[in-house]
Amino acid sequence: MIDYLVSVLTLVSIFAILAIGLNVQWGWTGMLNLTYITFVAVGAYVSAGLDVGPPIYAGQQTYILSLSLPFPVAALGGTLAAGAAGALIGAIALRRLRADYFAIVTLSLGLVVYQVVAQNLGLFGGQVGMFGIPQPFANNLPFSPEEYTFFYLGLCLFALACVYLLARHLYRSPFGRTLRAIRDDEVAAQAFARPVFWFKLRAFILGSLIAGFGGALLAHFVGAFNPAGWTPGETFLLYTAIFLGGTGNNLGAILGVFLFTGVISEATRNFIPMIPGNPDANEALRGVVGGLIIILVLRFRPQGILPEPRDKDTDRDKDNNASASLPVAPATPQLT
Amino acid sequence: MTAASILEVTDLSKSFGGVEAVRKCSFTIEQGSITGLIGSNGAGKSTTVNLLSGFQRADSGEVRFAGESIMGRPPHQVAARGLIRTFQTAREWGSLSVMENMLVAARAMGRDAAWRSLFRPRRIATAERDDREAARGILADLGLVALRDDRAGELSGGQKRLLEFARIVMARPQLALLDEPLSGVNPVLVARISHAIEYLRQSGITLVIVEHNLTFVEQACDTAIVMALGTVIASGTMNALRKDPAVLDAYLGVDTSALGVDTSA
Repeated sequence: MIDYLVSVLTLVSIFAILAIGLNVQWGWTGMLNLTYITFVAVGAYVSAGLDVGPPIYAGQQTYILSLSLPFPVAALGGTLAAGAAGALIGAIALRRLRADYFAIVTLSLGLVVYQVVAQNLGLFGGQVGMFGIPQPFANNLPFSPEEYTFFYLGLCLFALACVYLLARHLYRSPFGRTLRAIRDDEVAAQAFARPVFWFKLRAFILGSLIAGFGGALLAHFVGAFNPAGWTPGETFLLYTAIFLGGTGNNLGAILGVFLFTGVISEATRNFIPMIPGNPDANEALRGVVGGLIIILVLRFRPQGILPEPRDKDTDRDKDNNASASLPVAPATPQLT
Repeated sequence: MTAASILEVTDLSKSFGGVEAVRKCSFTIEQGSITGLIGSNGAGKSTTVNLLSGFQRADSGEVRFAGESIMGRPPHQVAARGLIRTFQTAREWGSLSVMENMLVAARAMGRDAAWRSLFRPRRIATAERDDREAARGILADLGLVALRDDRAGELSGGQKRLLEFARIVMARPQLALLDEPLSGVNPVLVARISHAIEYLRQSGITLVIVEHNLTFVEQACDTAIVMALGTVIASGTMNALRKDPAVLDAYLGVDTSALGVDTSA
């Protein structure tokens, strides 16, 4: 049981990192990227390619790269590769396209990349994928396999904390504020001297970097990575989590992943009996529940559980006594 | 042209398909003036504003702003040079607070680059404090300071207009093009808008106001430019324009009474 919980929590913290990256693109900037998971895959594959060694015995699958580099270098490589992919795609797709066409381009791009990787054995193992991805730092640490799972959970939680603090800082910064202004009205942002394309591109790259970093952690947690792990549907699961937790709110993204990936999905996986002869039914149920959550949240509480934080301006000269501003209490759900 | 002119428009033209929305339009705006841009519907006023601010690309002609050509420049570059425009609707950033709207409107000076927030946090914090201080002053002058923590999307139509003026003062442009500042404003609030326009002028901003309400133009503007069928047909003080036969011709049957003309004479 404890193994199971550690495993679920590790997955939740990795997915929370991914959700924060998607939140930068969608929640802050309003870019509907329907193939976010592709950038996760870039991070996963490239990081794995950088630290998986060359084949040990004859006939074993070889992957491109196979460089046996240490994990931090591999993770950094995966992160940067995803960021570079984001820069390339963003530079093309964000320049002239309206929001809805941008979404269509990302969706079709994801499908193309998916087919290329899945059909190409020499690239990243095709449909079979990569396996034997080494456990980070395992050789340098005196941990038993059971202890190691705790170590990796700690590593992922630490990574989540770092990504969250970075996102929180940027959200409140002039950079994040400009992104949110672009989301609200990009024409007005242009009229006030903001180069909208460059800001969108930077937000797209930032989100892609976070996706790649999360992808590296994911591949090294599972120890294997193949196309089944990054189907287009995975992106929608992340969107569900963001809608549920609170679009634009970084803490909300984490909460949404915890509730949706950690609680609701695991419940459909484990606590609902399998229907004999229908092994895919529970998996499908997950998608149904996800869709239902999106509809219900958008209908009854479009801002999500945690609404976006609001700026509190304090005038030190005038509001000396009132400046100890209280945190905004989450508004009660309004059934309108 | 005189040394005091800030905007010189020469032979500006723009067609959409076969329709010449603006043709060979020329005029000059004096520094520090308030100029009305009037004309009936379809005269090309809004297209002119779009061409000047870079939101649409002119087919031909020349626009010189503060001595430099701004033809073909994208909107954000035109704005960065000090020419800010508004739109027929208020276009506030709705989910941002009123104060945040002011901070985005402020001149960025590259401050909103992500790396600066990460590696120059103290410098950013100082600049932000100054901006907030300035923003509070402007909001106080326009009667919005108590609302500064409210989301801009929750303001009333008139308050959104006032916020728009506050953002312009915050951006400190040399020239502001106001596209129908009275649309969507309760008539009761027109006096407050007039006050706000005077406030913009006192802040040293040259103004061009596109407006249908001629009484308002007469009150608020020093001179007016009259457009018809995509080109400038007359310009001068409202008093002089009332007697101009070309203006009377263009307005006859459209809105003669608003000009205060006795057509029987």
